[in-house]
Amino acid sequence: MRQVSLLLAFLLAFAPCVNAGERVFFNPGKVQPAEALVGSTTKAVVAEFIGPSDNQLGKEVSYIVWREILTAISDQRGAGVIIAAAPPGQRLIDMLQKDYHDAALQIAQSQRARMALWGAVEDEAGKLSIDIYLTLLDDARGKELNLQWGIKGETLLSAAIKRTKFNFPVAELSRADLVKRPIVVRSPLAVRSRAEPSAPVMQTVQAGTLLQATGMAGGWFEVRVGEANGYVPIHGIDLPPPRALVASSEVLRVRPESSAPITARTTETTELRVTDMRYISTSGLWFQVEAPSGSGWISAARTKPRYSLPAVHFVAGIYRYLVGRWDDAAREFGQYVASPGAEDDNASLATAYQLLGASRLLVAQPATYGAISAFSEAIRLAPYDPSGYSLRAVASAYDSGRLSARAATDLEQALSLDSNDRDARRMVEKGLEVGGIVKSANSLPYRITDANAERLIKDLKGRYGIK
Amino acid sequence: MRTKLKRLLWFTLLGVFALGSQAQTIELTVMADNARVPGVSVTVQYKGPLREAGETDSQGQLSLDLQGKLGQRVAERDAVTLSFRKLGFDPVNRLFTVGTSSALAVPMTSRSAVASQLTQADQTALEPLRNLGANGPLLLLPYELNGIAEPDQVNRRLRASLERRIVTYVQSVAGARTAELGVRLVVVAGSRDVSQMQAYGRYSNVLAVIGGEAKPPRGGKMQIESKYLIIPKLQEFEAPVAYVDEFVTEGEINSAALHRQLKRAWGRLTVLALAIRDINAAPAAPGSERKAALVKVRQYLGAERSSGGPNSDEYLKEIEELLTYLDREIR
Repeated sequence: MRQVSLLLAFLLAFAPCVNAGERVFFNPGKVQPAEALVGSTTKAVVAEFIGPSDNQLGKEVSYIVWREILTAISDQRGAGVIIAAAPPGQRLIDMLQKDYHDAALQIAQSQRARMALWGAVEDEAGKLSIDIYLTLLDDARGKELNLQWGIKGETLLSAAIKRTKFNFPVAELSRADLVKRPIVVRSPLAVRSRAEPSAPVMQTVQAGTLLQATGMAGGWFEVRVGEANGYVPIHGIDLPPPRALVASSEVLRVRPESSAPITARTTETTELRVTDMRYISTSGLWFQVEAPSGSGWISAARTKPRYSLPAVHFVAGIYRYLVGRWDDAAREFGQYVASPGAEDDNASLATAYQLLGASRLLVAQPATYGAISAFSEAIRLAPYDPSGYSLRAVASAYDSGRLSARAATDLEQALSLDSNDRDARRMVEKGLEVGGIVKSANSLPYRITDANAERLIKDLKGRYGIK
Repeated sequence: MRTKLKRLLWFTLLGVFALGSQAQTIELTVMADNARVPGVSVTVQYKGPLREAGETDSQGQLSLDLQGKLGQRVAERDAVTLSFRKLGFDPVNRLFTVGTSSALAVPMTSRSAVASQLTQADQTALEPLRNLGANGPLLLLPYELNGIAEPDQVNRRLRASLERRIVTYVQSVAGARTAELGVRLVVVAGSRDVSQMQAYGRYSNVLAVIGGEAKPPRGGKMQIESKYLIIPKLQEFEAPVAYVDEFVTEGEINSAALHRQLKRAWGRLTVLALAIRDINAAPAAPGSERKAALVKVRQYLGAERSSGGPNSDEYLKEIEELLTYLDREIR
């Protein structure tokens, strides 16, 4: 019986992730490659990063970002991540000129992707400075990034998360930390003697094999095989996150299986090194972590993975948000806002708080635990952004079940910053229409717009010429 | 024994406190045309509201106790925004990294200062920039990096990094209108004081001039002072001269260290410079064409303001000033 369950666990361990990754070559200004991952409903393009010189650093960092995003959304069916690389023998830096955001956007549009991610890397004696940029494409700004509140199926208030271009703070880390890590073979793979597809094969490794990467050369990981070094292509492997936050009193098991014997227990909430990873078709992703009391397996859902670059969390959060997985989205945005240095770019951090607030609101209905405080934090970080106030007004309606004076005050603030702010104007316009009487859950009638809010909204209509 | 230990602990704590206090007080000296400038009003901001810091005395000096003025300690390597204003002088904003130096010399430029005539060699060097189009470029004068290995290479990498960071910032705020916006590195022989940098900028018809220098090391740290000057002028608006002060360990000077703080600061100022240039370029005659041009400027300035953070009131005041000016015309 034990052998059967071990065999089952062994077979399940090789289940492929449900998302997909693909590589395309693009040539800015020329005919774009055919659409990849046609069946994917939520796609992002990671355009090869710009490196400092003739070395392949830009390529290496972008490939790692690509694979880490795939890990972060490994259980999201219909999700895909495309890496857009320069044609062999060419360098993206020479092709992009000064198009930057626009070139990344062009390739993302041609691939019908909803996000375009790209970046630049500088290397000073092994210390990397990495800039990452993200653009959300227009169709990602549709209703999915709106926050709406209504009663009985009718939307009464809505506000949009408006920022679509993000310049994330510079991330600084050592090249060794980025590339020396455990990697997991995704499908049977040839280990070659050089980082070239035509190099002699040293050995073939099976899916699920754990290898230790000792370096990188472009799109290849250098690995130790027996007494020699060999190379495996990055598109054939899965990348575990370097670390994961594990709460106190969690149990670690001998196998990636919830009924497996317990091998260790955590005694405090701490970030642990991830040493292996498996995707199990019935229970999702599992990490093997190294705790002070011993190493063992834990379901990824019970941890907060920490990826190499905070932007990976932000992008994963958008993936989750777009398909309505609010709990997962809240976890990713929570990880982003807690990342060191996030405050260096207040605009992207404010948006992350807006998305965190919206995710918390949507996952916790009707409770709104922590959502209003996230919107308030977004306002603290970007106090001149009218959309921050409009969003908090909608969140307040969720919180109180009515258009309260607090929400109306936020609309006043939004209009004082931009009298043409569409969301705020529309909500003021709707404010009195929704002033009817409804019955609450306990059958007591109440007005949706309270008296103080009504007075303020009438005043705002007059002040800003709103019908 | 216990008493001795207590005393030792007290002395240690006092030492740490004294060291901390020293780093949190900045001795400011404001200079212009080799003379000290009294009566300059100074404001300071750090993670909270803008605070009046006082005026420079008859010796052009002001001792600024940051903790006392701000009501909080400034974290090591965090930057405060210092602003200097006096009638008849170009306003100055400085982003100053706290914790390594307690003295700061602040050059201001008198409105009546006259730049020396550009030499023929400098004119020839700047000539290619003169007709490069409406949106740019920005002129980068090589940083003066005395005593640093391979300064030319550092400057070349700095140019590429600044260009990418400025262009992507502008693209993220003002949309895709950056085809001609780039950073050109030009070597000039003349001085790098503000009035001379303005002369280079006016001659070459650029959007802004960027320059900087490494100051002699103190306590193992080198001060890197960077300057950004907006060249287009608007009668109704005074663009400030912006400085960023960074402290870098000797031997760690590289392009990444140089532009750590510059990323957002320079991008934002470039948006401001573009707005001034676009307002100047709008049809002069009142009417729908002028209004349409100004509405466009208002849109991207509004987007820029909305990305302003809790520590950027001084800069946002300038954006606000331009928005008020535009609103008066548009309505």
